[in-house]
This record gives sequence, C-alpha cells and structure tokens, in this order.
Amino acid sequence: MRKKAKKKINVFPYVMTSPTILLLVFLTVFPLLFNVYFSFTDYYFLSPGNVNLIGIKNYVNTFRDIYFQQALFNTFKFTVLAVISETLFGLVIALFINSLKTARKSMRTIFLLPTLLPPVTVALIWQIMFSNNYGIINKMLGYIGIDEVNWLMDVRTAFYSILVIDIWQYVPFTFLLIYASLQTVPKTQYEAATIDGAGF
Amino acid sequence: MDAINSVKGAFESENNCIIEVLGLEASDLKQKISLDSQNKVGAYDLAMADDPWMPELYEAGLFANLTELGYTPDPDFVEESLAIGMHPYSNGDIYTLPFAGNVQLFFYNQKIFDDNNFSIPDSWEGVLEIAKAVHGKDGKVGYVIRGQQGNPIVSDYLPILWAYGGNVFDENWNVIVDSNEAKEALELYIELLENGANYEKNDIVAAVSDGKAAMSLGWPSWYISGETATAAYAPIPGKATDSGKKYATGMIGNWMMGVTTNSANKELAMKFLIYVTSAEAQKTAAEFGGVPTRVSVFTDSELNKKYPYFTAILEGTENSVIRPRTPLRTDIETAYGAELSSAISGTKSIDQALADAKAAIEAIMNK
Repeated sequence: MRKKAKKKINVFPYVMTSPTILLLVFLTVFPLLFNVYFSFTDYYFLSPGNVNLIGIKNYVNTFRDIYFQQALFNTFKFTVLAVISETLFGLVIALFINSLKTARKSMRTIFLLPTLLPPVTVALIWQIMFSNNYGIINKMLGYIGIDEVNWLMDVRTAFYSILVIDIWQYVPFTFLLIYASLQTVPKTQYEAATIDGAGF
Repeated sequence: MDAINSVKGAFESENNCIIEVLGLEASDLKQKISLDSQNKVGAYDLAMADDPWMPELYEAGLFANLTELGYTPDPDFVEESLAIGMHPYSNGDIYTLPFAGNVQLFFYNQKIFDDNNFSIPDSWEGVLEIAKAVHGKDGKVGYVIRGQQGNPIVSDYLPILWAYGGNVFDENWNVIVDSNEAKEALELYIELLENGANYEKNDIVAAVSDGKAAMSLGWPSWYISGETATAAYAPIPGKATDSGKKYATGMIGNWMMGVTTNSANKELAMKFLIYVTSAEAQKTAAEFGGVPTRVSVFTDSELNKKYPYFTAILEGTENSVIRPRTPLRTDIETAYGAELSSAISGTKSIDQALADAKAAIEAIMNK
C-alpha cells in the first residue's frame, strides 16, 4: 500500500504578502476597530484616562443633530445628482470618442486629464475660476452683459457649483469605463446593426 | 517661527542649550500638543496655542501653572492679552503669556473714501450710510461680509453684535443670542449685505485692496505685511448709532505660549518663555513680522515710524472682546454660524434663526 503523499504548503506567497497585510492590519484595521470601540464610549482625547461605556448614545446624539441631518440629506442629494450626471455625460462622450475616425487617441487623453488631477488642485482651480473679483467665469459673463454671480457664496448656486466641479472631475472616469466596454463590442455587431437599419 | 528663530540665538549661547523650533499648521499643532500632553514626559517644553483653544487646553491641564513656578505678571503686557493667559479667565493664575498680538480691525479703501470725502465711521449706522452711498456705483461694492457658515460668519458678525450691546452669553452663562440687541445687529448685518456682497476671505482682501469694495472687517495679517498695507485700517466702530453707547468690539486673537505640564525642563522653558516675550525680543521679532503684545513695544517711536499699524492694533486690543471662554466653543460656532447663515440667505427669518441658534447653543451647553 502506498502512503498518501503529504500536500506541501507553499509558504512563499504568505511570506511575500505578510508585510503588506501586517501594515494594513496595524495602520487600517486596528485603528478602525479602535474607533468603533470608542464610538460606544465617552472617550475624550484630552482626558483619556476616564473612559466609560455609554452604549449608542453618541450615535443617537449624532442622528438627532439637525446639522448632521442636513449634511446627510445634502450628501445623498449630491451623490444621486453626481452619479446620474456623470454616467450620462460619460456615456455621451464615450459614444462620441468611439465614433471618431481620426484623433481618437489624443481626444481620449484630453478628456481624461481632469480625473488625473488631485481633488485639492481641482478645488483651487475652480475656486479661482468662480471668484467674484478675478474669476474667468464672471469675466466672460460680463462680456455678454450678464451680472456677476456669487457662485460659491450664494445659497442658490453654491451646491450646484460644487456639483459642477465634481462632475467635471469624475466624468472622465465614467467615460473611461463606458468607452472600455464599447471597445469590446465586436465590429460584426455594428455591421449587423447597420444592415438591420440601426443608426442615427 | 521666523520671529522665534530671530531671537533664540542669544538665549542659546547664554544658557548653553539648543532650542529646536517646530513649525506646524494650526490644526496640526493643536492635535500634536493635545496628544503629547498625555505622555508622561512631553516631547515639547513649550507650546503655542491660539486663544480660543485656551479653555479646552487649560481644563485638560496641558500648560504648567506659571504662577506656581514663581512667575509674577508683567504690567507691560497689554492687559487684555495677559488676561487670556489666566485661568480662570482674567483673574486666575497665569498659565501662558501672550506671544503674538492680533485683533480684528476695520479695513477700508482709502481712494473710495478720499473720492467721496468720507471720514472713518464711528458707528455701524455710519458704516451702513457709506455702504449705501457707494454700492452699485461704477460696479462698486459697499461693504463685504464674510458669511460662510461656522467661524467666518460668527467672527464677522460678533463685533457688530457687541457694538449693539449684545453678546452670546450673559454673565451667568445664559444664552442671549436672541436678545433685541442681537436682532437689531443682525438686521444691520443683512442691510450691509444688501448694500454689499458676501465673499470668502481672499476675495474680500482683493476687493477692498483693489478698490472694488469700500469696507470690510478683517485680521491685520490679511492686509498688512511688514511695512506696507494694501488697505487703510482703523479700530472697529464701537457704537450702533452715532449717539449710542460705545462698546468694546475688537475681537482679540492672540497667540499664547506656555510651558507644558509634562516638560522635563520646566525652569529653563519658563526662562525662555519670559525671554522670548520680553520687550527686547519683541522688538527684534517685529523686524521678522512679529506683532508685539507689550505696550512699550507698541508705543516705541522707532517701530511706530516703520510699522504705523501698531497703534491701531494697540488701540483695538485695548478695546477688545474675548470670544466665549468655553471648551465647547467650536460646537457653538458651528451651530450659531449655521443659523446666522440661514438668516442672511433668507431661508429663515431673523427671529426664527436666532431662536433656533439659542436652542442649539443651549443644547450644546447642556450636553
């Protein structure tokens, strides 16, 4: 009777990934769990010696806070509007680039530029463009006779101005995803659709 | 940081020590000194702190009691600045010394004032009259408010509230943000906005400096750098009307310095603190952008020729008001600022916004 050969455990992948896993545990997982624990206590960072468990009181207080409720609603509204707008604009741009016969690569690169910028840089650029004093947007509106708009400080425009900034930065990302999917559609399907009479 | 580095050399050679100065951005500084205060032996012997943080930091025991360490108050410090270093405020032991002076001032565009023969207004009624006269003419803006929620709008509105005789709390810590004085002050603030604009800080500075806007409130460092100022300045008007009572209205914003409780070198640290806040050191530091906190330095004739704004800062500091001394100041500012913002944007009436602000602040105080 032959002895069943012991299955060898290959430790190499574990050794190679362990530094990253350890870093992740110490720098992300541990602080996260620590924070979750403290969220059920009355911990105050200036007197850490006196910590008592208080159940869900912090969460109750937070959800009762009208400013938190307003912020939550604004975030929800912002997310819905941003996702819908970015998907629609991304789709339109992807269809446009995909239909180009020439300059497709350079157009693709140009459209991708906003998403490569750090959000802080984007915020500063748009803050300058929206400025009341030296902002290019108000200057251009002035040339066509439209009065200056206080984009970022007027409650009627501030939310939508920030939405525009977000859309400007993240449309290229949705464009990239949709464009990549369009690239996988076989040419034969387009030909078949054309024969069937589809198209603009 | 430049100001400290400019004077530390002499102390190092005299005391045979090395002083390392760590420069941090404000929020980072507060976080670092707060966390370090929990260690048995601190990493920092001295720490700077913005004056609104003081109630929180004093209660947490971050700073050593200088009075117990043998320090006696120096009457050369501007009284209002020295009071910030005391715990309880203005009559307790001394924990920190005023390192850098700062007080909100009234800024205006000199050319607009000269062209229209305006004189510096004594009252907020006068400010409004000038704003009405200027606003809309040749695209000019009468008065610029800083109306973002939170700290900006609260800092911008409080001097007007004080000029009307109002406040956030009375002497017994009752919330009085919905008083008649507060309603009148907010009405005026909204009228100023109607005859002006609501900008963020950089736009305010650019507008008043370039002559697009006539007036605003602000901190000296926004407009003044070294020997030059981009706009004219004066202490904030202390009266609601020309015939009204004059109140202190300059919001004080000193940077304080103290010896940390867990410092391993308390005596030497206190010696350096006394040295770095001395008149001689402040005179040297002034050349590097330091704003003094001592009367003798503010009134020094040579320095005054070079930095004429010292007189306005001294006058503003002597007529200054401290922000509410409570560790809950940040939460209060958030709630108060949100309601003031609702009032100026018209989403709430003045009465409703102030009543809501009162309820929110009371809830914070009762937590």
